[in-house]
Amino acid sequence: MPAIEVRDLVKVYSGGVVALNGVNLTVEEGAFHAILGPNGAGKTTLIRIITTQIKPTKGTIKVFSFDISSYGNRVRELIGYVPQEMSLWTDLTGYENATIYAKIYGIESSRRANVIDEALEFMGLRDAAKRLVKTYSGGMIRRLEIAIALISRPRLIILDEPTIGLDPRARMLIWERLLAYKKEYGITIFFATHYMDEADKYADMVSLINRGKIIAEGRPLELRKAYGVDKIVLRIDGDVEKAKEILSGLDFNARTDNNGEISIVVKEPSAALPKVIENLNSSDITVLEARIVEASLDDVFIKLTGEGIFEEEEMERIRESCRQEV
Amino acid sequence: MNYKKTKTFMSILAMVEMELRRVWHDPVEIITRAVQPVLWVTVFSVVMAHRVNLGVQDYTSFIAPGVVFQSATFIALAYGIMMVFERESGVLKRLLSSPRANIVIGRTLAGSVRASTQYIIVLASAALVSAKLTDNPLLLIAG
Repeated sequence: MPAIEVRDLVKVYSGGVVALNGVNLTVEEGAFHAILGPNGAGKTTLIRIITTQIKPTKGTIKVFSFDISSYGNRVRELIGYVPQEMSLWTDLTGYENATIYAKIYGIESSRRANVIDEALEFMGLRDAAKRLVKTYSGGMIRRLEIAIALISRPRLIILDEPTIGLDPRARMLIWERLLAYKKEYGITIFFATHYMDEADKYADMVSLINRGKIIAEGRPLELRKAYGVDKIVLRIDGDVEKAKEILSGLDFNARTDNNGEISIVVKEPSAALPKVIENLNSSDITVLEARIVEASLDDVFIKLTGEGIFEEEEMERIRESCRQEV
Repeated sequence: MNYKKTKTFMSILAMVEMELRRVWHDPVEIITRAVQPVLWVTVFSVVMAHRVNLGVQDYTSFIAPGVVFQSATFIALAYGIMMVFERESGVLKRLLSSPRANIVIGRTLAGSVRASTQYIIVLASAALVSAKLTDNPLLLIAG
C-alpha cells in the first residue's frame, strides 16, 4: 500500500495562477522520498494539499488509501507535518510548546510526559527543553518542530524544506536524526527541498518538479545515470589544441575550460580514462592531473528544464496567491 | 559642505519615501490604524458629552465599565491581528493539519481569557480611585 498516492492533481489559485498542473506521484510506504524543485515549482502547494490545508482544484489524493477529501480527519491522525515557516510559540519554552501540541493532538495525560521526553531526547533537546524558544538557534528550532511532529507517532512525516536557512552542521544533524528515527520506527518520510545535494544524499527516491509538473522520478543514482553527464577533467603539459584533436579522433567530445583544463563528456568515465591517458601519452602529451566529475542532480535538473533552480519571480507570484487562499 | 548636507538630507528623505511607498502598497493600513482614534472621537466623545445631561456625578464609576469594554474590544482586535500573523507563520498551517484542533473556538476563548486579565486590572484600579462597583449579579448580567 503506498503511503501517498496523488493522481492528476491540479491546483489553480484564485488569481488564476496554476500551481500544480496534473501531478502524479506515488510515495511507497517506508520510503525516504524527496520532492525536489526550484522555488515556486509547486512543492509547498502539493504538501499543503496532502496535509489537507487547502483543497485541490482537480484530482485525487490518498494517504494510506484514505481519500483526503472524505477522510480528512483520519488522514490528519496519520501524518506529522512540519511547515516551512516556524510553527512554534517563541515566548514559551520548548517543553511547553511540545505540551500544547501534544494536547492539541489529543495525547492522553498518562503518556504525554513520556512521549514528549522521548521525542525531545531523540532530537537532542533534552537540556534545552526548559528554555524559551526565542533563545534557540535555527537548527534547534527545526529539531524541536520535528520532535513535536513525532509525538503523535505518525506513520508518515511530511517536511516542507526542513533545512532551509540552516548551516551545514545543523542540516546534517537534522538528517542524521531523521534517518535514525526512520530506521527505528520504519515510518515514511516525504520532504520537499531545493537542495539537490540533500536529496541526492539522503533520499531513496526523488521526484523532480518544475512548473507544477513532475518531470522525472527515480532513485538519485538512476536519475544521474539516465539524465546526467559525467566528465573527465584533465590538466596537461603540452599543446591543448593537439590534445583536443587526438581526443576528437577517439570520438570524445572535448572542450577547453576557462582555466585551461580540458573536459571530456563521457558515459563511462572510469572505463574511458585509461584509454584517454594512454593515447595522450603516446603523442607526447603529459597528463599532469586527471579527475572524474560525476553528474549531480543539479546537472539532471538543468538538463531536464533548461534552467537553473532559482525562479524568484515565480515564487513570489505563488506566495501571493497562497496568502489570498487561506 | 553643502554637498554633504544635501546627501544627509537625501538619506533622511529616503526613509520617509520608504514609509510612503509602504503605505502606497498597503493602503488598508491607514484605515486600520485610524480605527481607535476614530472610535474615540465619534463614539466615546459623544457618550461622554451626554453624561452631563444624564446627570452623572460620579464620573469614575461612569467611565469604568466603558474602559473595560474598550480594552476588551482592543484586545480582541489585537488578537484578530495576531491570528493574521499566525497565518503567515507556520502555526496556523500546523493547526490546520492536526486532527482535533478547533481553531476558531480555541483561539477565541484564548483571546477572551487574555482579555479578562486586562479588565481585572482596570476594575482594580477603578476601585482604587473609589469608583462604586456593584456586586449584584443581576446588575452585572444586565450590564
